[in-house]
Amino acid sequence: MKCSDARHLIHLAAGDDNLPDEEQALAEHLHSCADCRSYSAGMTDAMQVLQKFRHDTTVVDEVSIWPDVERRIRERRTARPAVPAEAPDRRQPKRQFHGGVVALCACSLVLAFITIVQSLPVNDAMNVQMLSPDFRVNVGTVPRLQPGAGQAGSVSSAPVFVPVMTDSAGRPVMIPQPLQQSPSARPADRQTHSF
Amino acid sequence: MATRLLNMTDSNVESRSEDEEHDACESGFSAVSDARLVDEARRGNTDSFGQLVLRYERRVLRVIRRFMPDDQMAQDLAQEAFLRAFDRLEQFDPSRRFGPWLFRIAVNLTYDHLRRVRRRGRWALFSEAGYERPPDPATDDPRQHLDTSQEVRMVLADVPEAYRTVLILRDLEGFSTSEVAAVTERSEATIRWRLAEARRMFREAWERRDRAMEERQKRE
Repeated sequence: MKCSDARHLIHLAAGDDNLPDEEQALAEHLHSCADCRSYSAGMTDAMQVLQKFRHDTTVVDEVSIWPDVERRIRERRTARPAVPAEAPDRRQPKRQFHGGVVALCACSLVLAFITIVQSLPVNDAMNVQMLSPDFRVNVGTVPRLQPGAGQAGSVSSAPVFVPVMTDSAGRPVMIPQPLQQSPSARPADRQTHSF
Repeated sequence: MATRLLNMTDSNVESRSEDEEHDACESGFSAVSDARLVDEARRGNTDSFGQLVLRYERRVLRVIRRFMPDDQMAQDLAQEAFLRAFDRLEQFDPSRRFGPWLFRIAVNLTYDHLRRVRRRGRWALFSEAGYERPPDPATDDPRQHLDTSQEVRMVLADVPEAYRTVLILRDLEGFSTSEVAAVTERSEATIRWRLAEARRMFREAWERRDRAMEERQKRE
């Protein structure tokens, strides 16, 4: 017998829960194994603690609980309306509305809708994709303030690159830009760009 | 005969403690089996159910108190267990034993209560602290006298629920393995395995507590 099996039987033997053949096998093993003998002694000590606790707890209250139980049974009987035994019970079980469940369902639906809308392509006809920076087109220059110059009006021009998008056939596609107001319509903007 | 009456089974007789025998003599039970009392109670005879309550109340109370130290709460739970048993008498299978069925209700109720308390404690801002009692200068500090039973209770609390139930019913309440199997609705083989594991866990927890106490004493 292995020591692990013997220890399982030692736990059971502590409360006399072994079968006769198991008891015999355990005794033979304990005769030859000092470790398991020591383990068995420790188990006996632990069981003695439990045995002390077993006799320690007693029900202090000597009063029977039956009068209270009987009173509660009577109260229930009087509280319940008498239903004739022959009449079939057609009452529906009372249902409670759970607003939380409805709110959770609504939130789930809204989230699902948003997810679907966001994953839709911009234009179904063309599969628009962003190209690498190599395919950018120089569309002109804009004035740029020189940081080290320190004088007002010292500007230089910097190239402006616009990413090009193509459709599934590889043809360039114009990116729809928001309409810009004419300079005359935006005097405030004009003032900010006058260096 | 009184001991026989108090037994959970009508045929499978086990020797019971003397106080139970004393209870039986005091209450003056006649030799009526549980099955017959249950049958009469199902027909609406409350007195028959009362006899069952008197027969089992002390043991049910004691089992519940093994799981919780609060006497008042244990009383309430015992009452609730009997009320639930009365309400569900129609569901009781008369071919089975009444005792295990009743104890199953009591143990389940107790665990439900303990879980509810634990859950409430986790989320509540405030918990019940009990009544405040001013210290009595005539007596010593009670914290110094944390007796063995309290320590055993604390160690038992570390044992997982399924194993603790088996340990309490078998080793503290003296139920037989078959009775524990009937109460917990598990096979006897499962109960034997859980029992061995529960004893191992208890032993390890008790030894840990011993070592911790020794270290504390060395430090002091």
